[in-house]
Amino acid sequence: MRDDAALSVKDLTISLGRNQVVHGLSFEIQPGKTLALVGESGSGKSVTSLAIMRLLPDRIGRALGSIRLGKQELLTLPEAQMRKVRGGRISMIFQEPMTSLNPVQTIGTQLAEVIRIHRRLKGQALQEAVLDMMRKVRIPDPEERVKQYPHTFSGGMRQRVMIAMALACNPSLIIADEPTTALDVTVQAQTLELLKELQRVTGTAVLFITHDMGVVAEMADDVLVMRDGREVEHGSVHEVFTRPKSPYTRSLIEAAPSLVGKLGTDTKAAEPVAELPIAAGVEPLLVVRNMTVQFPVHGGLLGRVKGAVHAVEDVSFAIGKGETLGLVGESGSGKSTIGKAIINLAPLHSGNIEVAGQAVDYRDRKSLALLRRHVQMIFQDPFGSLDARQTIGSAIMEPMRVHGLQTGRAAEERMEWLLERVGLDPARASSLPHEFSGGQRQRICIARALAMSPQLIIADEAVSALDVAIKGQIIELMIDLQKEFDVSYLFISHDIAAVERICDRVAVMYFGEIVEIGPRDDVIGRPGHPYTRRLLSAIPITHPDQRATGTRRAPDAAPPRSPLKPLDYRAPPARWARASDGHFIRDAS
Amino acid sequence: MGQGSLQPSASVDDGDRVTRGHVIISFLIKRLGFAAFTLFAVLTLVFLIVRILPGDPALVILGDQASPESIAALHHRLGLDQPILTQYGQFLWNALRGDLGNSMITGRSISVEIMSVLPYTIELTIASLLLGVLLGVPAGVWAAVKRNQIPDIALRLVSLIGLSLPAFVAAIILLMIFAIYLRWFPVISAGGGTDIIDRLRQMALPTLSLALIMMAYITRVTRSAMLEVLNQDFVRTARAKGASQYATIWRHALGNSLIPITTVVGLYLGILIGNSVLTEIVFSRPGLGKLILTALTQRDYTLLQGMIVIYTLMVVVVNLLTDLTYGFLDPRVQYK
Repeated sequence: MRDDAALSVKDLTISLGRNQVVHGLSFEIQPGKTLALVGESGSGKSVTSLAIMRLLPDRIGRALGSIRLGKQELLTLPEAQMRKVRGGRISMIFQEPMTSLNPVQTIGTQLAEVIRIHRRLKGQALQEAVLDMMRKVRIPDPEERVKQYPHTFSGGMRQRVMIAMALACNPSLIIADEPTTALDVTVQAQTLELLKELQRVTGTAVLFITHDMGVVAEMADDVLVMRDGREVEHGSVHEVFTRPKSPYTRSLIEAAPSLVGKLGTDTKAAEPVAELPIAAGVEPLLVVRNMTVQFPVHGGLLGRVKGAVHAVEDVSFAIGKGETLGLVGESGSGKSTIGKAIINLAPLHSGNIEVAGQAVDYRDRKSLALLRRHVQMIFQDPFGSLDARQTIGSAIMEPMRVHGLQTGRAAEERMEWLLERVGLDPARASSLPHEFSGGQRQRICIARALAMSPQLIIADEAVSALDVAIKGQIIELMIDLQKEFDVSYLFISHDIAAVERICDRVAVMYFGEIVEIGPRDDVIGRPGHPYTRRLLSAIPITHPDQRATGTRRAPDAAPPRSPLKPLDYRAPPARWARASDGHFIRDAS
Repeated sequence: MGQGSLQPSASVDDGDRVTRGHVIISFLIKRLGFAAFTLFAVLTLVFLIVRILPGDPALVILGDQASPESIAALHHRLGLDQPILTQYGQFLWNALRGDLGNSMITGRSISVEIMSVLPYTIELTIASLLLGVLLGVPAGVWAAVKRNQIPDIALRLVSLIGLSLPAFVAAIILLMIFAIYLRWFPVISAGGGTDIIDRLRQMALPTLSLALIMMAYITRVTRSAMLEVLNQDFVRTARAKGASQYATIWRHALGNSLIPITTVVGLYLGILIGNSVLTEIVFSRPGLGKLILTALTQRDYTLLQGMIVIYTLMVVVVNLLTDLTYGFLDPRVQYK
């Protein structure tokens, strides 16, 4: 072991209560270098970071072994001295920028606190130091923003505040715990860029905790892969990506999207078309024409309607029988609203929707009942979308009973058969949701959706909350079930890797509008619209070797467009161009 | 809001710059409108109740043996011979000017009667509220920090006793111990008092007996609010910054627990006003409590009517203040 390591951890063993969660972990980080700690939820990576900060839960968390910061042993340090280390010599950036800042204190106060504690500045000097840090992390108008509260900041801006707090006292180690997981890809790219640049300037060591191998390829010098509290693989980033030793590491690496940037942009100019042909070659199951969804905004003394948020603006597309259409875009692009509007969970302002050749009349109860039989939905959060007090068997049978499809013994038989289809033991039908893991719960939700023999399933970020390996399994399951039941999917996701694996066609959403639609290989491999290119280029690379190509990224911020429009606003007519067969690009100008 | 990911956080400045002061004034106007409506509804209800109650007020006042002439004369004097709508209009108009009529029994102006004892009740309520908050908030914080340890268990027990003990029982126990056995405080709190020390000594026991109940409520709500906040990410952030235990708990965590605490304080202020009735009786202290007791025992309907209006007014004012306080405690609160 070299003496000059910024952090060296030796034989670290952590237990929470009676459970040992980390077993004999050893690693070290040199100044200015980044070690990526990779693993799925429950692998012990976040607990390790809390142990280094000595922030394990009181009275139940116990760490044994050795953690040395420079030459100082941290595990035996008295709490009073440990407080000087925290925020001063080791600082931390957390995953959730939305909840990691105190909502009732101004940004300035929170930044000032850490500087006051460790650099002992006061008054004008403190104020200057705060503004200086805000400029360093490139928060625009720091003099204005310093007086504002966290809820007026976007996720990316809040994470910049967290980075500013982390760097404010020139720490020798920064622990970044999934710092960009909650951010959109374009914001993630900007944030990672900023973090790398500031690290280059300050020479700080970084312990980067993540589950995303793309981010690892982007950021790390060394990689340590963890599983169930044990080291699985440890080596330089190049070594690990080029010759992964363990099959587990290999599966993590393979989960990254593979088409992005492989095919290159089409040089052939797209030819303008008069109108976007909606129905694709096959017999369309779902046709959406000119869908617009608006939410009124009230204001003024009497709460009159001031304008409307145009969440979805004149969107048209179709899904064929047995086909999967991916709807991708960043948060706030309106992709989830489209799914909700189809099944009447969001108010449709105008437009027509046809399911299986029949126009849906949202004012007619019979038409709605039919719609709900044909179209089912799977949500992101498998924890929240199951009733905690209802057995899973009953949850799956409920829709059949409500719609009078099957009752009694027949419903039970079908429920058991469905559980088997989604890979669960029918004997567990009388169990409650909390007895299942996240992946199993998503299987239950899929079984419940299939209970109605729907023709279309809307999957809204259905795999986004799952770990990489589980995510793969669920996608495989969805593909298998599609073949078996000939069901169509509307797959709404921000996760390009998942979209790439399951979708036949992809539509890209930007500020409520579809800007590009076409076959998967064309849209992801040969993107035509500038926004699609920017979105795809923001996706982390798949191998550290790709880092050298500096031209890969165009992190310029999008011109901010407000979705809030005055009442008399009419969207300008869209002009479309055809790039290749079935691949259409909206005119960007 | 649950619908549409595009729903903007309305607080993000969308170029439509309205100052917060401006918004507060428009909020205040709206809330005052609601308050006026509530008062109007209560006035109407009170007016109707007195008209529906069986028995002729003139008979109550004059007795069974009264002659028809004197009853008619009294009807005329009380305005009872007017059409009901005229009576109603007159009643509202008088209430608007602060005139709640005269007592049926003593004939004295109800407004004057109430105003002469109202300061005592307000003084007692505010003093017990302050004492309850000063004791309850630190106790709740301490219980949350020492969760499931001895201080927490002890405080939970104490607050449970405080909640279960009726106000007058606590008052009588305090009276027995501190006024009769120990003789530290006077048995009868006549109000007033010769100087400030005397006045405080007279107030001490009634205040304490009400504050104990208030403290019990506040301890419980502070504890649960703190437990929730202490688990939140920003508290971890504060600790990771190297903030001391003291700063983490009192500045970061308590600052975020104040909203539920304020809600409970606002709610229980109403209960406190109600409890003060019994406390005032036990300590023979002047105040609304004694007045309402008199009104009840003498079936003084007009006095009761006036007192209901006053109680409503107090509750409405407390609610208004609570709503306004939210905005000072939490920048995310929208005045709508």
